Amino acid sequence: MTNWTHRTIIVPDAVVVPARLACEALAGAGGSGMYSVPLSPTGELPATHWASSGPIDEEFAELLANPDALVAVASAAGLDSAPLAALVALVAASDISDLALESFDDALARLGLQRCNQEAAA
Amino acid sequence: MGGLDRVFRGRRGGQERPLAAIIAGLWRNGEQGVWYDPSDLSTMFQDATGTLPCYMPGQGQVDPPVGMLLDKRLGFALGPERITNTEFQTLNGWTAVRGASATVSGGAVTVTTANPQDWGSVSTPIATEPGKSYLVKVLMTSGNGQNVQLLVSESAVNHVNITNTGSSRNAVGYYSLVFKATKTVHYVWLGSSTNTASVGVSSWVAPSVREISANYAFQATTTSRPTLSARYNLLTNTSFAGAIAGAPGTAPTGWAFGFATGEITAVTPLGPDFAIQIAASSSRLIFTQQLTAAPNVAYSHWIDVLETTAITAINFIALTAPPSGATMTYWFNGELITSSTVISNPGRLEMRMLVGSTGGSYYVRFGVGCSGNTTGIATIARPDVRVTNDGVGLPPYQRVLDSNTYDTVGFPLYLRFDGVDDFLQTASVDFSGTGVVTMATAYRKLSDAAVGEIFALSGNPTASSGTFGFYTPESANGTAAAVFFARGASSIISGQRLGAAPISCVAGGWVSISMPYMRYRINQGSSLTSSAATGGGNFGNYPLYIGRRSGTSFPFNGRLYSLIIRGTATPDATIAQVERHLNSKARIY
Repeated sequence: MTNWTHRTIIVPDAVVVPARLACEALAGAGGSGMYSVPLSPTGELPATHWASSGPIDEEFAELLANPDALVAVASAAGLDSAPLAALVALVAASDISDLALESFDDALARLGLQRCNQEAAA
Repeated sequence: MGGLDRVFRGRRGGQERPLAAIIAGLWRNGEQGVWYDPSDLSTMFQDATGTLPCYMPGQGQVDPPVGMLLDKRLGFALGPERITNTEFQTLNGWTAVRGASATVSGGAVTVTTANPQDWGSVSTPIATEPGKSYLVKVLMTSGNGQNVQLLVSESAVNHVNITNTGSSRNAVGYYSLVFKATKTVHYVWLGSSTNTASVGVSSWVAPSVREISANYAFQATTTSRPTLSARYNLLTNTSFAGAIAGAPGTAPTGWAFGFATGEITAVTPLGPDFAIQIAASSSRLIFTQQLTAAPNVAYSHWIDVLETTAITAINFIALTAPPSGATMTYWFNGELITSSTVISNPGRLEMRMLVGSTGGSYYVRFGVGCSGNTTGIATIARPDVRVTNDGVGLPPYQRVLDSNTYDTVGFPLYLRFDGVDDFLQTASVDFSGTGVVTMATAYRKLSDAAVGEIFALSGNPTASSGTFGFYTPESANGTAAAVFFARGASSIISGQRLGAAPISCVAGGWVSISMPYMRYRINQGSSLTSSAATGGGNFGNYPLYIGRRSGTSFPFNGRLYSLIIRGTATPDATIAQVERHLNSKARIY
């Protein structure tokens, strides 16, 4: 049985590609396709940050909150020291908040970010 | 009476059939479309591949994500089991193939391969109908680290037109796939994958093959899955658990004393809840909980008054720091009263707050003396706060212990789309055989801040030909319109209906890009029609997106109670019946 929790995860644009790869590597198919919401301080593109928000496995949430556990799991998965260090740095660069305690919009406000404007509906 | 009318009427002189039967009959002739019904738990899985069924929310676990939503259009969500031996008490019906050996024990089959890289497996035949889709799943309970796979082949012993779960997995857990039949018999294989370095040993239980509609919706990304919920009451610990009698005593868990110069004179069980008797003598004792109010929204704050001496309404329910500009009215047993009306008989008391243009956090107060010191004795229980227009005919009280534990009986289930990144999508649905679609959907829009797509055929429905869709709102902070639209060969036909969030709606109608003509309405109000040119043509063969355009923009912030799309014309009277059925589920008007 999967135990779910809810998180908002925001990563800088500079690391969004490795962040997507890391989530897929750690969480499998369920971790694919993350960080699809573009953000910026002005709400205009290009995005400076990217977000995902919603349910995640509690075990995955614990990995994000605990660098030691993350290192242990990634090491067991065969990750070498250099990418391991990059992974830890990646998590450290992410803003991770509990949706039970802070809404997505409140997280954006705290970080001074807005959703990027998208084209108008016809 | 036309042919279409005859399809939807009973055999006894036009007598109307039950609404659910009418819905099921919409696709009796194989019409293209979808029927998503989140009120039916059997149609939903937590994952995208159909292995973990959704559980009922509110029973102590986090509201479950929905990664797979089955289409009920075929008259079922999951068809009958196709594997004859799922118990593995014997090997009957299963054959070890490609040199493998197999044994059964304890309801599991254990497959041992003879050689690496030769797909040693056990296989069993299943009867299938070409063109139909089947969900196949099985649980691998143990392995030896070698890669394994579940696959479906047209052959018992060779890989012929296979569908499989990949060649690089070896973890215990569920393996599942969906395949579209090409023959009347296919074979399910359990065992080794091609990508193995040595002899593989794996054990499997509970194999299953069941027909599903190909038009199921799914979401692979965990964080982008909508959640299944039935939460309406915004409070927590509404049972008043944890309260202890005394002067002042102890406030219920999760509640704070606002003022506590009075006393709790008794705490008594009231079914699964507790009733609190409060005595005040030129004093007061109130409990508070913090809430957040949105601009221009009305909230109802309820309490059961079980016994009372003469105490005014405002001394039972009041607010601390309500949003600027909010106005309050009081109601007792459904009758409008004033805040100073003396409540001297048991009943259900409501304080309704209409928030102005400014929202914000505030505290709701329940107790005796909410507005100031008073004298009297009263017993209260079962507080409830919800948005005033959130449902019609729902139970007046929803017990909420915490965000994961709440009553669901009588409260319609819904899919909650977060307005950030949640969406579902289907594989391509081929509507190319028709230029007409009928739609009906029940939803609740929670925000007008940004464009929200409830559904659309194609990832670019306003630019591609042969598409249709439904947005609400249509524009960010604009008209708050709900727009139903379709695009023919060259241009769009559309219609808008206004309604500011939060608002719950049953929308129903149809559009023909070939005529062209469209008609739709909301909550069975007046119909909106259009004959704008479309360029003609038929609809296309595209994925259906639900909750977010192409999975990248226009995220819908709200709830989806149901969605029906039917790829042909439908009589207006039948659409009205469908609308009534959806409303009977969602209880919107």
